Amino acid sequence: MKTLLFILAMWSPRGRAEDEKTVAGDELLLIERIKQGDEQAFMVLVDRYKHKAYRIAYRFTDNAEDAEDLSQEAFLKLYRAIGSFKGESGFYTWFYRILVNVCIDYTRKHKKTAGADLRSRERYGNGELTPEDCEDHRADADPAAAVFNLELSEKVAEEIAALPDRQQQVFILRHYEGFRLREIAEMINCAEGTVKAHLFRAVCTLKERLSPYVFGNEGR
Amino acid sequence: MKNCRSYQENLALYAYGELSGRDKAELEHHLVECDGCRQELETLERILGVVSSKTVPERSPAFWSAYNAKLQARLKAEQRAAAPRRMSIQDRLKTLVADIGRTFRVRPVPAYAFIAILLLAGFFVVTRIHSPDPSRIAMVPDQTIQKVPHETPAPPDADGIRKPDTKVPSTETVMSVELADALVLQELALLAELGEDLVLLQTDQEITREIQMLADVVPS
Ligand SMILES: [Zn+2]
Repeated sequence: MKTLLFILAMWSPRGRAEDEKTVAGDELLLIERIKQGDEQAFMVLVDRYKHKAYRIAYRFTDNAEDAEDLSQEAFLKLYRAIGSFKGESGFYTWFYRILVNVCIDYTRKHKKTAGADLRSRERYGNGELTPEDCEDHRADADPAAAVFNLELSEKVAEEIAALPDRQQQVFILRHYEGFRLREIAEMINCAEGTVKAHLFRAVCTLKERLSPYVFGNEGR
Repeated sequence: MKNCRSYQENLALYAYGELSGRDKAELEHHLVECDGCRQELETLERILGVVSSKTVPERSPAFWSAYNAKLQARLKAEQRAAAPRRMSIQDRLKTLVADIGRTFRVRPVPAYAFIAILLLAGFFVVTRIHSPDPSRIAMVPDQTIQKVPHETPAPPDADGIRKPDTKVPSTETVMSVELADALVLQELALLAELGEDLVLLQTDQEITREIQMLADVVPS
């Protein structure tokens, strides 16, 4: 009986509650706990990464609901695959690789089915984003400028969505999330030189497509 | 000397601060001399600035709380869906059963029976009951519980109490047949109450947590 209780105590999450504080700062320990099925440890990690994960997913989807769904999907995959994390690469590179793959699957499915233009227009009409969510557009004092900014913003999203997969990934990760090229190379599993080439092509395409909108009203 | 066209890729990398060493020095030297490339860099920076103005809407703290709740619900649902994958639990339960030195007959639904067995084992240490009457003991090698928890067990002996075997070590407890039967029924009724939730528990932690909860409510 004592042996049994001891075993139960060892297995119990409550048995480990005391070292919560010491563990919180150390990602590797958190990962070890998650490997043992500790959901609390998992949620600590989620809290640490969810904002950036959501933001990245939003960049790929340009859609609040899908961003939530995809970032959560990445966390679920992380939980499932945590046993295979050996600590060779950094944990966050590993996690973002999962996330990026989830996002790639999404964009592949959606690029073929729906035009980015149509989707972005639907988004504001169906109440999916609250007025607070659109604050950056609403706060603009000049209504004409606000309309222009909203249109330009949609055009930017549309052109990024239209980039070939690899270019899109590299561009989003470098431009919006500020990852270094060598980190991106690790995330998308290719050479740094290839990442450079993707970034360059993405920048060229965006320059070409957006120039008429950016410089058009300046008579440039 | 390189022509302006050959600087294009490095110009884009330069705009992102991804150029270093000789490449960077060479480009900077060229920029001092070449109006065209300076203009090109300005255009690039202007376009990239516009691309940056496309922001991800900030989400409220309420959104993030709901995010966690939703994610946890998805995790639970996923674990339920993956319920048949429970070999490690069975192994652990088998070990426990062996520890207690009893042999159990398992019902056709292994998980259900294993949980019942572990629950029982957790409350009582029972020595081998020698030459038991198969009709009276709740769990003996050749008897299967047919319809749990509704079926009433076979009636006990006249005296009810089993005498401890002389070979049994004194530290171990001996349990009466009725008590064993009653406990099985009690446990199975409890299991039925807990219903699907308990049967579908997947992780070791969930199992032990439930067992501890049950141990708390049943007096020892
Ligand atoms: Zn030049």
